[in-house]
Amino acid sequence: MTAVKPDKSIDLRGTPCPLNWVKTKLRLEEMQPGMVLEVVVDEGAPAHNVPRSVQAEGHKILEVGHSADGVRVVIERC
Amino acid sequence: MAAIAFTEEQIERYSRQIILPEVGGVGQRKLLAARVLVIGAGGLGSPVGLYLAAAGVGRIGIVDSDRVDLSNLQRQILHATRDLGREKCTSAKQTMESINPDVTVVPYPVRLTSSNILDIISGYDMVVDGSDNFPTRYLVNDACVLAGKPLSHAGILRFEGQATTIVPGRGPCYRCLYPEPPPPGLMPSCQEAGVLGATAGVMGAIQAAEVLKLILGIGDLLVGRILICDGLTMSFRTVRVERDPGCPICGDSPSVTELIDYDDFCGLRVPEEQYHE
Amino acid sequence: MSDGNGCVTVRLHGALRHEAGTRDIALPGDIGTVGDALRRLGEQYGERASHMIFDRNGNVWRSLILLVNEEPAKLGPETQLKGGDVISILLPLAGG
Repeated sequence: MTAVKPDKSIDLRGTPCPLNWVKTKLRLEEMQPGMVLEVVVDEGAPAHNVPRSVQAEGHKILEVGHSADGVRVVIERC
Repeated sequence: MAAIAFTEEQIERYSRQIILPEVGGVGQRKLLAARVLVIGAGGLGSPVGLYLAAAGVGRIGIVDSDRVDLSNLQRQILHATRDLGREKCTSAKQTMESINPDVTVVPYPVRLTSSNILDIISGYDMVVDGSDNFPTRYLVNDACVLAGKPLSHAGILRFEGQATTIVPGRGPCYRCLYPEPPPPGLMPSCQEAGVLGATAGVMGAIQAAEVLKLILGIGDLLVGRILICDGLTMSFRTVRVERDPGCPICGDSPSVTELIDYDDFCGLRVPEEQYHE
Repeated sequence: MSDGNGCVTVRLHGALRHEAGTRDIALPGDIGTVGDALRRLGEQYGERASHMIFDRNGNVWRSLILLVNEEPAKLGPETQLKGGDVISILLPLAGG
């Protein structure tokens, strides 16, 4: 359970790479620095690729949480 | 302020460029809102038209008064065998819009002259010169300088090409580089000397890339530089060129303040020794 | 940097290359100036080539871009050459 409450949340389960990253990126663009975005992606390649792309773009990963319902990636928009 | 949302289809269509840090959704919106005029739907205009449409440039004007002929198909990749005899503008419009329905192609099946060019270019943010003759090159340059429109210039012959980007007020214009046209009939055309189709492709794609960078406001443009391609050795070099403060159109005290007769400027109206083979 | 035999090499482009039928031409290292080299080319490659180099007043055509060793010729046609120099002559390409 994360202490940070996200400002926005998007469910990207079922969305393949790289579209899951593209949608994450587009949502982050609309947010102000400091705001927090939560995305839920599938296990496997998405869980690996999305956080990596987020960081490469210069944002901060606050948390990556695996559960039966998918992988929650909590991002601070930088 | 919420930006207009992309459709699912647009997100997927443009995903490979939205991913680029230099583009993003912000850049994609710029592309969709951009208006670019392409002069010539031939060897250079074809790759330019194709890549601008693919990238989602929202409004693309195509100026070409010719019809598609068989000898064009070796390099004018916007057109196909089924288009023989059709107006090039119409063929271009059909192909470009079928690649990308987000794009509106506006055909101008006319010859550009001093009387119509300023009006035509007024509806666009920038211009691409893919024409094939000296009078048009000087006409387009002068019109863009007078109207303050950025211009992508390229020229080809045989296996060689040149490209430069003209941003009025920021660097040299075409006349700074080449102040005087050659005597009429002296320089061989592609019809006479030939041209490799892929050379047109290389240079046209470079023009398209420059236009996209201009729209997006990224990278370093070929302003003040001529990129020279020698296709036989596949060697590239750049030559730096400066704005000429004495340039008659973009210089400190311009003597050309309105469009002139470019056929006359290029000696086409005066009986001249001809240099035909 | 001098080459082995001290020639001046002229590299042609565009319509001039087509007219001369060759890309590179070797001239004697003591040819003189860029203008001298251009005059030699005109003599060697005929009237049409000459008209691409010189205007009707016999001056070097202003639309030639003259490079010596990849840099703009500092004094234009008056630039002095030495053995091993490479002159590039660029001219406008209208094809599209």
